[in-house]
Amino acid sequence: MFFIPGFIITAVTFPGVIVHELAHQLFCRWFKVPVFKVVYFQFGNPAGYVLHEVPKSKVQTIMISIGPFFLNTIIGALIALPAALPVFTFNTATLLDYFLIYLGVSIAMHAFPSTGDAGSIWSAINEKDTPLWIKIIGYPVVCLIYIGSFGSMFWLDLIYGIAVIFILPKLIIYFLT
Amino acid sequence: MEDITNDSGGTEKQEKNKCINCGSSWIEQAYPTPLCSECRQSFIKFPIPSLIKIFSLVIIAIVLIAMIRLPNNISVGIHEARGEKALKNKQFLTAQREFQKVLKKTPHYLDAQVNSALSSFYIQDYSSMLKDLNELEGRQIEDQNLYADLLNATNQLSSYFPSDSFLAMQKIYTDTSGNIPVNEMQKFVSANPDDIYASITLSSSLFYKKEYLAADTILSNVLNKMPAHLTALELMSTLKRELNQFDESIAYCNKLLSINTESIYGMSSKARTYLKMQKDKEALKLALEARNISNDDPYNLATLALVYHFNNMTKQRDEILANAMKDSLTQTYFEFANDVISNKVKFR
Repeated sequence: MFFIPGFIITAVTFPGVIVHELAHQLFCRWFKVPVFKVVYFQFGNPAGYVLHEVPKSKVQTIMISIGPFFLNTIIGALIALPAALPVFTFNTATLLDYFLIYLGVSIAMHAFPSTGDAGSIWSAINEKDTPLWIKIIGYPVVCLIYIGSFGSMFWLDLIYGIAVIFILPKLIIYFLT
Repeated sequence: MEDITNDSGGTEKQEKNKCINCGSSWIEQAYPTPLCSECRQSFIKFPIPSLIKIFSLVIIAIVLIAMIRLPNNISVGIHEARGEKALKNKQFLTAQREFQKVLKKTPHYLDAQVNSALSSFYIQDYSSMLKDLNELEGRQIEDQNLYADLLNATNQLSSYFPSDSFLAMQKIYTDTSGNIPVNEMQKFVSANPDDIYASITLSSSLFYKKEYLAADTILSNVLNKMPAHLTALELMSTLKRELNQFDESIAYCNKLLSINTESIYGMSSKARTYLKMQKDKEALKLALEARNISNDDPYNLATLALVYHFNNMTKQRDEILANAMKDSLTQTYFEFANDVISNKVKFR
């Protein structure tokens, strides 16, 4: 395993960071939660963030935190899907295909919620009035986010990004044949 | 990258019951952040910078471009997967069709080209195989198993084509009807025992002269050298039928079908042997199965005409015969069937 400083990876895959923060913002807008500040991308830690009001609903808190997971995964997959076969299977890829793969992986690999996102969920589900079913959903989500965050030290985020674009076309073809 | 929740809207000092943004006293209750209705709405619709809007539009445009390309690539992937599956199941006719569809959309896909060439070999479509081999010239095949399979097929290919010396003899001896005299061919085969094509041509000539035992000996020699020679197996299945050695005829058909489960000749020849064995229903089932795989194979259509004849399905038989009359190429395949139907030849 070789080491590449995180800020370089983040800089190279900046489209994913922007989509991630935009997803937080759009989910806030969807749930009518006021947003006070958005940093879409910066050279620093965190590479981006959205400062918003604590939502009234715990479900909204969870959804705002994990929204990028869905949006980044879906957009990354949609962009890279048509290029995945020419690149990985047919060996007939053009420059456009490689660009789509780069963009798709960049976006999909930033799907993982951050530990900051996990912190928001953690505070929400630990409040007294939180219903049990939200706790049942919330704790594993927080746990998974921390596992993902730990795994990103071992390129788990990149592996996830590649898996999304590599496995998804195979699965689609498998189910269609 | 994170979302940060804020109970106070980020201001360090705030007056309670006043909007933290504009100072209005008309704050909306029941929210953790004191904001008036207007400010709350404006923060909910926190502006997205123009640059980010442009970025989003570019991403949407790229997604649309990707979506336009997706059906084509997925369809190629599906044909490729079907081709691979057919190859695995030794369904070479299906495999060739699928890989041809792949190549139509991605002409430079090397593996598809190799698989298409291989499939063409096993269905004896040598012109397609040679076309694929021409396309492959000078290209590196990295998959060693695929390369070995192709090499094996190309090495066998020469036994399906006349050698230069055979062609030279053909030029000298071809009679007015276009045939080489059998005795000249026998001399040639004696002098060139390893010329498989010549041996098969000789056995074929002997077969048409009804010298079945002599043809049998030559074909057996060929099959000793090349046990999977498709033309030799085909001729043997027919020859054994004419010798009333039905079990052996069926064994050769089964050998053909074990090499290519979609061998139209294997299925049709087996159907003809079944007819000779008075197993007319089995023959019908098999001939129809072959037609479902390939509906324009003349040998199968001629077989089907015979099968319909012996199953007293005269309407279907006559339909096939009428269609065959329209095509001069298929007529030669129907000569035998016509002779059997008109009782010129006793089939059983």
